[in-house]
Amino acid sequence: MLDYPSKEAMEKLNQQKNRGASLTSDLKQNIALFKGLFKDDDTFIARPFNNKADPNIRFCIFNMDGLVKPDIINEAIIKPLMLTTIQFSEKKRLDTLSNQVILINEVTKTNNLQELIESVTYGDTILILDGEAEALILNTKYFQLRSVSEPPSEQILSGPREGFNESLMVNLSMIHRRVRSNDLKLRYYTFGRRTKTKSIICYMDSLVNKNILDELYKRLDKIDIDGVLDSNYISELICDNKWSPFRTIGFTERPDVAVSKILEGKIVLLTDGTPVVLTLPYVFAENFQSNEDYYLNYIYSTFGRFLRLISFFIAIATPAFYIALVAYHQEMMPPQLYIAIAAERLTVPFPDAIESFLLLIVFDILKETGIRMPSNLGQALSIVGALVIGQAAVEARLVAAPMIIIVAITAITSLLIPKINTPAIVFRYFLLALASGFGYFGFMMGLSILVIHIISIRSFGIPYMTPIDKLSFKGQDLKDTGVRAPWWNMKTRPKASGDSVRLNSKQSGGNN
Amino acid sequence: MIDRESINTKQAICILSLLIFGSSAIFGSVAGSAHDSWIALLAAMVLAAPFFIVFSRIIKLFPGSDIFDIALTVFGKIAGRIFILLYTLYSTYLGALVLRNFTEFVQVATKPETPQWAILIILIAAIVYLVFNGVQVLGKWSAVIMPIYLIIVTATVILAYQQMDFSNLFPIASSDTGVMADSAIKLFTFPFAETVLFLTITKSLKKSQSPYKIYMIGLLIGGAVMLIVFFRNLFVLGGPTMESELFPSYTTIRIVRVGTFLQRLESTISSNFYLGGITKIAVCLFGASIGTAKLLGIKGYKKALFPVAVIMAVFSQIVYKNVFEMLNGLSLYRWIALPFQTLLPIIIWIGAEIKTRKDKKNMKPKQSGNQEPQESGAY
Amino acid sequence: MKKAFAILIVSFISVTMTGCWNYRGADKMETVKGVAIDMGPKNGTYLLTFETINLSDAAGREGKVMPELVESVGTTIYDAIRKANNKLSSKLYFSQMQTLIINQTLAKEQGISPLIEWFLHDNEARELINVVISGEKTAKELFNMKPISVDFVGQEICEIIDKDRYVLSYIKSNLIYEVYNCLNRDGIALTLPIFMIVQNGEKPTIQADGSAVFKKDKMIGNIPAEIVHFSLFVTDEIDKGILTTDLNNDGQDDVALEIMKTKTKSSISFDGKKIKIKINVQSSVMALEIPPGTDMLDVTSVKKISASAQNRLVQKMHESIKYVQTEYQKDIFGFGKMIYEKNHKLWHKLSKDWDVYFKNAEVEIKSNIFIRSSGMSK
Repeated sequence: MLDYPSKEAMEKLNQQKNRGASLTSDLKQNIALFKGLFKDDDTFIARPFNNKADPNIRFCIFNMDGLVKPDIINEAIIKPLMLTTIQFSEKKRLDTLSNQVILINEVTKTNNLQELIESVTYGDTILILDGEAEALILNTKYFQLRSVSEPPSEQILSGPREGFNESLMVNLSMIHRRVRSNDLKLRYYTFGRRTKTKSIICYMDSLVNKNILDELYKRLDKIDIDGVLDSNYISELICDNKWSPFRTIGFTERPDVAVSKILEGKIVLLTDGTPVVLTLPYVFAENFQSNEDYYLNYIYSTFGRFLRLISFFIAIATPAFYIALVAYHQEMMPPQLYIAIAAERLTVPFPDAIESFLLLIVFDILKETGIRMPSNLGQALSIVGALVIGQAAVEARLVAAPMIIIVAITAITSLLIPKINTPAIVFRYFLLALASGFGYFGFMMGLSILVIHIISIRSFGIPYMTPIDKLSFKGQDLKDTGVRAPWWNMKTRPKASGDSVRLNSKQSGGNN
Repeated sequence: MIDRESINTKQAICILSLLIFGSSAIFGSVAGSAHDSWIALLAAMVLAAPFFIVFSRIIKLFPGSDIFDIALTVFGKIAGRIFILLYTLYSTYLGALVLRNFTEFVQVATKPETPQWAILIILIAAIVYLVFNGVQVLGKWSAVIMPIYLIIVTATVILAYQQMDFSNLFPIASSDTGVMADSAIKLFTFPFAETVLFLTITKSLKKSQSPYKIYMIGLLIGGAVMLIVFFRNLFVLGGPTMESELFPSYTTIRIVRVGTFLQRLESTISSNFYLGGITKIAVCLFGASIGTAKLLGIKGYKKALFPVAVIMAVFSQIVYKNVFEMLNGLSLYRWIALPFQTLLPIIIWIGAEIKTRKDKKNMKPKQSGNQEPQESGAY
Repeated sequence: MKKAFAILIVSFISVTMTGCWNYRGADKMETVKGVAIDMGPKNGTYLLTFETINLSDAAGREGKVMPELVESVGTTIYDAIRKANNKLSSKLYFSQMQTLIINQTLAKEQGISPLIEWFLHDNEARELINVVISGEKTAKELFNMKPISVDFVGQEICEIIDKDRYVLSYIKSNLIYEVYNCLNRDGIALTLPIFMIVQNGEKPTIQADGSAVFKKDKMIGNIPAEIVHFSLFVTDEIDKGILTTDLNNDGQDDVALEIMKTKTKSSISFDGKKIKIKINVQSSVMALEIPPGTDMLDVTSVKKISASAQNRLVQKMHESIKYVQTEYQKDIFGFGKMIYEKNHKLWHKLSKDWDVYFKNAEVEIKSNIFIRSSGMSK
């Protein structure tokens, strides 16, 4: 989307713009400096004024229209500065102002021009005093945000319904409210050369695996990109296996999910401007977990997990297996089934493999359309889809009825597992291609390649298939993967979060 | 920091067991002794046990290294390199053999018209991918495959119960002793003693793990599974059929049926074969690439991987002209393989014992072999 | 980039060169359900008749499949199979084949080994094919009959044989791999079921009727169905069946017992000159037809019924063994196999003259029938 000059070039550009400029003690020069920096930006407001008691004390405040709350500026900054009698000590005049006069909760003193630019564009107000080469940054942020509501992609039957929204501060508040401890650490981090997006890394100090944390910082430092608009940008830049379709960094829009992951010892990355937060490390078993599993009865949840696991395999393997059966290994079918399928095939023009590819692609087109189009056309689409594809195609003898059933099963099961969508699509076509070419042998080879792939990838150093690949039959390791053990049975944290503090912790937060 | 090269004991046992029954379970019997093949099997297991102890001892003396390093340490550069060359050739040869068994099976049993090289390409792709990812992934793969394999075998035995005729067992030990001894040796060399190739990946074992445990438990599990498979085939097929079929296990599964619905299950046994065969060939490929890399002085085996794989594939096609040569070749193969499986390890073992005693006497500070496994680079 | 290109090109090429050699669309095959082998018009040729599935009416809601007969002549079995392609547009497909019918003259003169060779070797043809002998002049006329319950004769024969175990136990059947075992094994002679055409009311249909006896692989005669039934008692191959007996000795059977469970134990010994066989049959039955007025709660009546049934069973079993001993002298019961399994050295001594030993063997049969219940009424 944006082109990237390198880091060095960017800094040069910034320097050129600023022309080695910095604040001076002269108010007029400073005002001119700032106005020059924000030359064609009409939302930049400069308001000079002086103190009523001593007109020689001259101030100027800068802010951006629309990002600040005028009331605060009027009441807390301009009014006290203008109306109170200020007694300056010799030095540290700005300190006197911030300690005794200005009624703002967060005040920073700096002379770094870059920092001043970043803060004024985010909604802070800059205060310059005539005769000082430093400025004060005052917190006056106020902007319109989307209200907190349940995220549409992660809806549940019963449980909390809060979802993150686009403001970093609001999201932070939701996490903080749930973890009332000073063990929760939150570190700021900035991305993007041009956008300077703020983000926060959160974790529990006593639970997190320090190695992973270090590794995370290392990778974040290597990121060199113009702007970060969504967490996925970051996620793709820091993951272990660039080419793998599997997610190795989790994401969520719900604070309860984020906090439960923090309690497991995972690290959460919140980014300003997007409600999606990242959680890492992330293992295969988490693809099949949903936060609802913990809010509902354990038997029901275990059943749900089994269904999801099975659906994964069905969604990937069904078309391929069907083709292998029908085109290469007809002897495997009982006679009646064989006759039924053979009879259908007589009437259809395409060979099985081509037909299955076509139908799968048509189904994927339908799914994409369903996502992208305006919702008031939804009804029309479902009717068109069902009628055209289903009925008419079969009646017109373009496709065979069993194939429709197969594709329908594949489609439904793949909707059940949204988190693992991409790998499902990739491997479904891959297996289908192999099965069409080589029958059951190709199918098995494809499955083997899939298994080898899953086994070999890592998420920040943690093997993706923990704990299954170590063949550990200890119940506590498997209690949260295929099944969801009841709360009174979960005594240790899952192995997959880095093994920092394992045993004997009172019931863990569970996986989400 | 992150351990990428080690395998734990359970995984090592799985690799070893899969090495043993991976490709032999599809054959399901050994030519010549028909209904007494299980006796030959037991004899082969007994015969293999002392050699397994020798193999374990070699590792125990030099934990954390593989047989190539040990050969170099014990015999010095020149003789050691000859050892490496010999074992690399053996690995390649064995890998090519198993590949040929495999593609032959796929072609004969399921797809007569497909040429073997097409099957070969897909197979090699999967195996190279596995080997490329390192020994730890091989260990994990075995750990994942093993339960699946065992479940399938158990299921076939349970389903075959109705078709079993236990009188097929009799008469016990009626075959010629000479024939039985012959079969026992055949079974010894293929597959038990091939576990010598496991020594090429023992670099991934830590000092704390007991190689005896790995080898002995592997022997038991591998032998037990093969025994079960032999018995199942014998009871279902009967002596004459078992003798005449090319792949008795496959034929057995074709016969197994429960009611009218649960039949024609031969895909299950063929999946078993694919999974086991992949593991076995992967170990051979490891041995061959690591050996080649050490011979040519390349660091790490990945660069040698592709050429060796190609060589193995091509060799598998030219080594036999037809199926009969392949079956007869088993008789010849024994004599070629025996020195690798018995003589050379014994030589290495004796050399290793002497060297460690000598080193202990001279009280050298630390031997090159006693290190923890190295990680292969950062993330 | 170059690497990506290379991979892309390689995958395209490999896709076009894949193993589609074996790709078989299900509609491009003539699926064979049964095969009948007769003598061909010229000496040394075979006439094969294939019962295939005709799918032309099958598509749509009311799929009807019909059998279609294809004939072909060839010098060997496989030759005839391939020559069938002169008449067909698609290749014959044998994985669904269930029955092989052999002409009895062919079985008598040539033996069946050459006939079943191909079916054993081919990977499509399954090991579960039922081999039967045709009791009519030719084998193919069986295919002309319309089966009663299913669409195909091949399937019908197979199902009759399969169901028989659990219903009547009148058929001693052998799947093709069992045939191979029998032919290559010591101590047992092969038998195969015979199927004939009978009238079923108005329409003719097929029925199983007795077994054919073989010397090595050549047929030498046939055994009536009843003899076969009792011979199955000797070899412990009965699952379910009925025993009838005549309680009142008035010439008319008036008791019918349904067998729930039965087990036959045999032991064999050799006293230097003769073979002695001891057979013990334990059965557990349900009395479903008894003379009216019999009081089942009376222990003596029950004992009388079971004694009568036991006598009948022992007598019939003796008859069947005698029949085979005198008529054919071929050991279809597997007594030789029993000796082989217990003491193979002894077998080697006796095997040359086994037919004689079999003919002169002494058999002692004991039967114990236990009446468990009498159904719903007393």
